[in-house]
Amino acid sequence: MIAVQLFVNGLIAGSIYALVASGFSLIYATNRFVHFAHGTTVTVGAYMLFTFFSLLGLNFFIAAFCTVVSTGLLGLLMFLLIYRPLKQRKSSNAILLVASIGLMIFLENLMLLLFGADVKTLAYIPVRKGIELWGAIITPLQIVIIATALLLLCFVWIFTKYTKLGKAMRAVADNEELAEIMGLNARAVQAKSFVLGSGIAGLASVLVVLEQNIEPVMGTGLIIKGFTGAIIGGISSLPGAVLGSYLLGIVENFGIWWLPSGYKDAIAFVLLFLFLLVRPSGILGISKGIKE
Amino acid sequence: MIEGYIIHLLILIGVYIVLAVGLNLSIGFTGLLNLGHIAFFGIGAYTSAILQLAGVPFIISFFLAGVVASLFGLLLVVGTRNLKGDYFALATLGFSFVVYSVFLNWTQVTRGPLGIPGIPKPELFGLRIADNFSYLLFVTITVFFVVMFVWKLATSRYGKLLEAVRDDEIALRLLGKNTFKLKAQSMMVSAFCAGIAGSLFAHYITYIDPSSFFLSEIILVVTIVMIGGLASIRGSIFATVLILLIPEALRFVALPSSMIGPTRQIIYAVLLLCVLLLRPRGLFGKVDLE
Amino acid sequence: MLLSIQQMTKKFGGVTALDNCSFSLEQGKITAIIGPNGAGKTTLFDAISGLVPLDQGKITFHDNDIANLQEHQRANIGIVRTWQQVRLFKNLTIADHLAMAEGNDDTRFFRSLLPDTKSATEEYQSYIESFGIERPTETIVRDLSYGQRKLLQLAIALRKPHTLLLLDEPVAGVNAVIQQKIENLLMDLKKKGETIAIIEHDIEFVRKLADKVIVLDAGKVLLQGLPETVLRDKRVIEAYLGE
Repeated sequence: MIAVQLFVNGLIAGSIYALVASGFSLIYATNRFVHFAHGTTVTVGAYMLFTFFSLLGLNFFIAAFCTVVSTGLLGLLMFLLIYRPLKQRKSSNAILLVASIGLMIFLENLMLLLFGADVKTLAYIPVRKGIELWGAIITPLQIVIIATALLLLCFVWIFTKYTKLGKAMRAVADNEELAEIMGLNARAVQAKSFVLGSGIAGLASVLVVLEQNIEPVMGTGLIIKGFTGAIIGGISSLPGAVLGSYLLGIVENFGIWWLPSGYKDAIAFVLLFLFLLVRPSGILGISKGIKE
Repeated sequence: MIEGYIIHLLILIGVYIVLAVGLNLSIGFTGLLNLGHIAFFGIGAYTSAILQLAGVPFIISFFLAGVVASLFGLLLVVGTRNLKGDYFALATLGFSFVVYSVFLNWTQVTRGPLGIPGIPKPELFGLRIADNFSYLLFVTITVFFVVMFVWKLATSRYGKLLEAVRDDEIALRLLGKNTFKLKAQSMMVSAFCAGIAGSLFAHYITYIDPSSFFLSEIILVVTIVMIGGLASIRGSIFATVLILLIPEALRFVALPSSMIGPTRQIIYAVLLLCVLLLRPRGLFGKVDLE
Repeated sequence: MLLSIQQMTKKFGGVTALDNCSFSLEQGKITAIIGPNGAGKTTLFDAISGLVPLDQGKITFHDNDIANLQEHQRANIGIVRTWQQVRLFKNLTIADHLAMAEGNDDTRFFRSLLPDTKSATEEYQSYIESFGIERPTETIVRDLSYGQRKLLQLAIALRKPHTLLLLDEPVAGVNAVIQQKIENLLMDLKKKGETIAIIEHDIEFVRKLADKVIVLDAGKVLLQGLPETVLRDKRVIEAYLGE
């Protein structure tokens, strides 16, 4: 019965990771560098929601909408102010990664300064007694999280598959130069994927704060998970990233059967390490993700 | 009173010079974007503290701190031998995180989040380095040897090979040089520096806990190296002094103590971003960041 | 027979870059490798120098199988190459490059802590001037012109102890003056009896320089033999002279 419970816990964690990972991999696919500050976008989103909902007293859904808009804007700002100038100078991916870590530390500490170190909670949906399903306890809230995440992921997938922007994004992801020759403005598409990816991070933050507390450092853990999920699945592929994230969520929760729970976060890194070393193209074997 | 404060600052500057010069060897000279440096720092601090508390003489714990850190450096290079660029950087960042988790969770050895208190001040050949002024002397001597060592290494023909690894590893291999060996050695020296810096740090503060070695602390050392300039030892020394002094100005602004930490981190992050955007060579660098 | 290649095959994903190639390079002879772009000429050099592992085939040097040797080990037994797009260490000086090519003493870690031996600046200076590089040896490589870098690359390859030179389009991308200079250098090497494999597009120059010509097409060895026979072949004339 423990197994079922761990599996359910894995699904819940996986849903959140999948949302983080899908935004991350949307950005990665067109931009081709590791935007490590993506997790901190989720943190900023969480504090935005806290501000709109708890401090300003807006209706929850309006607050959530405002949150998504503001994280989208944040993504755009990061791209325009930091990444675009660096890209124009033809900086290597390693330098872009360092810049993104700088951004991450900056935003994390900004949140710490503005909102303080104490943990915030939203308490929008009161924690209710869980329902028993095949011996596992799951709260209605958790069901909502899983369902919403799945719905959103389907929506994102359909979006990239069938809309004009989605197709443009895939074209740039496939071959930036070729897409430019075909008349696409690659920089603009890259900027748009930052907006979109960061918007998805905003959605993720809405779901996260329904269940978890808000802390300035929450983003670091989330990007590690999201990134690992993306690597496991094949970094530039959306379905791969989602699959990898659920896998990570489940492995992590089963892992604490053998390991002290403090190591839960390290499991992700061990998996990340293994995949980077053994199969950097991910389980789906997408080799495009790997460039020097 | 003010003297005590200045001595305290100078000791910290010394520790960070050792750390930064070591990191510049791997990042600046060899071109390995090593984000595992903070883990080596921590490994050195814990090794030295634990050994010393177990009764091992200081000078031996001090060297073993460097040796153990450099063995982990070797392990990291072997593990990541097929990775390049940002993937290498991420793997080393991962290493830092795993090491941090171990500090936090291996409670039998590290006491976890409680940390290790009461690390004795060092005793060298029967002389107890109890007051801060003699500690500063000891730190200064260490800094001198580390800087001379790295400087000699970097300016020799061997050092030119390290720079060649950075500029074009494949071309260097095709000139008949075993670049893996070069990278491993460079990383080991770099980690050794971080390890003894960790030992210096632990015995000075006399208390360590995992939070001093978290991921975000790497930003400080990376910022120092980038601001000083890649492959410039002089730059790293100058930038260490600069970067450690800037946040001290915050003491004179009436900031509540809870805000000093985050403000410091914000300053470092902004400086790092500025140097990446505005002056990619850093202050004294001869090599462009790419 | 210095180097012999048998049934060498290399695939990248679905693309076959080298398809069952067999040939040999003779001691003291110059072999030109010609063929259209994408024929696999550079991949062939990459395979000989150890950059890409073979899918199939055998490669022997001095009658020893070298398949298990890494790139740097192959360089140290005397297989030295240059690149079509110059690859040098852009932040190092000319003298650093020359010193590197001389031996592998410099890779010894503890040796680096001893005082440095004086480098032979004057000898370096006259050496590079014999290649037509009129710059001080302390010049950093990124400050050289492309033609000068191309010359320096050749100078370094020759400085490295070698028994086989792999030259990948040594005259591509340089102006007519430097092209003439490099061609003269190559003719001198021919006189000295060096063993060279060279990728080259200029058919007239190949006719003058080469003792043997190998034509690659789509990863296959289309033809090989003496220049006069190979270059008279109808298929080669069609491909190169457009008749």
